[in-house]
Amino acid sequence: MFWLACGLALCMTAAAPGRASPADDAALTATALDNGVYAVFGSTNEASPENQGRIGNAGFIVGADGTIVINTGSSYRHGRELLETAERVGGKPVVLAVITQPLQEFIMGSAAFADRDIPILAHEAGARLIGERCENCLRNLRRLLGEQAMLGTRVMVPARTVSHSIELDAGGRKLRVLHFGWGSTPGDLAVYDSTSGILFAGALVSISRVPDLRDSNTSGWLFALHAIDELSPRILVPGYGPPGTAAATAPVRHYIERVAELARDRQRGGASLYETLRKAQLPEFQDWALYALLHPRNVQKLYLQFENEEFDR
Amino acid sequence: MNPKRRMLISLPLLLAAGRMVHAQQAGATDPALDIDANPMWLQFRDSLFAGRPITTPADDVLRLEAPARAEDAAIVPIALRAQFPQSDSRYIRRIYLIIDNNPSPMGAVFDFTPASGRAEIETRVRVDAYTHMRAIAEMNDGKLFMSTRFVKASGGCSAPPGKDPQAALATLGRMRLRVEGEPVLNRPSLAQLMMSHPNHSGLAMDQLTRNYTPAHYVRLVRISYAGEPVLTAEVDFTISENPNFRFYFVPKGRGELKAEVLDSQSRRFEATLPVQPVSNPA
Repeated sequence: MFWLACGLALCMTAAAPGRASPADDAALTATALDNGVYAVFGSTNEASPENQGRIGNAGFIVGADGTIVINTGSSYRHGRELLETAERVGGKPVVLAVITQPLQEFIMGSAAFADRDIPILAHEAGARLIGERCENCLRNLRRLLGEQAMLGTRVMVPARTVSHSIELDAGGRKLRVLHFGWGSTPGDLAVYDSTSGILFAGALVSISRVPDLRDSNTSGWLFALHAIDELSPRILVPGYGPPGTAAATAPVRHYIERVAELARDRQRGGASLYETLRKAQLPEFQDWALYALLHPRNVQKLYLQFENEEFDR
Repeated sequence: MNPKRRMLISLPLLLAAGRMVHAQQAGATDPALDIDANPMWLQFRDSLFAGRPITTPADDVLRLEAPARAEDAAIVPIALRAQFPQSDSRYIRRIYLIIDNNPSPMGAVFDFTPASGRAEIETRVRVDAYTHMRAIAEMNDGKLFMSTRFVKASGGCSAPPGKDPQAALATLGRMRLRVEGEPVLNRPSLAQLMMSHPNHSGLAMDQLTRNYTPAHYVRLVRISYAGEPVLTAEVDFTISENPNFRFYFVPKGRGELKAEVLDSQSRRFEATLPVQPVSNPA
């Protein structure tokens, strides 16, 4: 088991891969943030055999007598490793898992939690989407990553759901589970630990990685970012990328505004979807992870959304 | 068929089957991905164009533009562009669109006239799997030209939260017809037809109810200007939801641009747009 309890800046340089011994090569690196709050950082790339689909961030918060895990990982095995890591590092049993978004990288480890009778909490709209579409994602992941990597993985529809923000007392620690409305997905949740001032923002915030607008409501997303600004967390754990501060919302907002402006101008200006996609570059974001993959998709999604609005008039 | 672009795969089994594989997909042994041997293509070629030569590549006649990798397999924007204007003596009278590995490979047939101005179409299609896509132009003299593209698209991590089906039903059949830019007398003018229609294939399962949504799609689009046909499209669920067509017409005076649409439930829809072309470009 390899983990570090250290200051934030140090962790970012010290948590280099490849330090684990062969005996525990499955162990995850949990980065201690502060006061019993840990993050487990995944790749900012797309799912691939190289990263075993382990994209996006998870984390856990250790309370007086139990631990809450945020996101269950990308496979049964990943979920079990998260669970074991959280218990070994925190020394407390895991009592609850919270799903921040109905996205494959955040939910596919849920069966490992269910097998231990650990309740899984999601927003009701997130739970619904998991039921509707995640079997399909699992099929695709099996094809992409192989049966072995996905062994034991089952889609679990979270049994505990919320429809709005709640205060939670889990494991003897008071947490706020926040829903700002339909932002990056209809079922967004963020987890705020007021003791440490740490926010797990989930996919609402990505750092140096293009946000995926596929499931989004852009105005709702901008509203959620504003709500995060109001909350002003001391440390913000994004869904993708390294930890940041409340200031991490600004580039996300900037990207969403720019891509929406581009798609609206092209659609209203009469450019075809084909031409729009051919000339959709926003060079200021081209160094972000997944720019080549997600940016054109985002442009297409918003172009079609603006087109659709014409039928409502 | 160009023998230089092919190679013989040495695997005994394949050799026994006498199977040829396109050199550009060395290692791919799937005939579905073989541009010359795709079984659906061979069927269409034999039934539609029996014995007639097809010139390919033919990018100097007709260009097929499609993204190499689709952003969304359900909505892949494509363009078919003739490389010369339509005239009474030389024009493309028909373009067939064939997507080899789709459940309905021949998803669209577009008929043009000299009054189309340009045999050009932009639309969006569903692409079910990695596939070759073909556009075959038939000239007024009967000659055939084919352009192809290989498109990487597949299911992906399924559907985003869609539009509420009730809301979609409320707008079904609404059309928008518009001319892009100022129409100029006797010059090809670009127009766009947008339509709100789910274009259900009948092949997609509702993940929640486990029921198949019944097929309901646009099958005929007829566009005319001042009573003269400009474009007729025989289509099916290959066309993405909310069918969208960009095309040309030549306004030879004031007139009405008219779109008539017939769907698979025999529902008719119509949109018109009065056009007053200017005699000189602005």
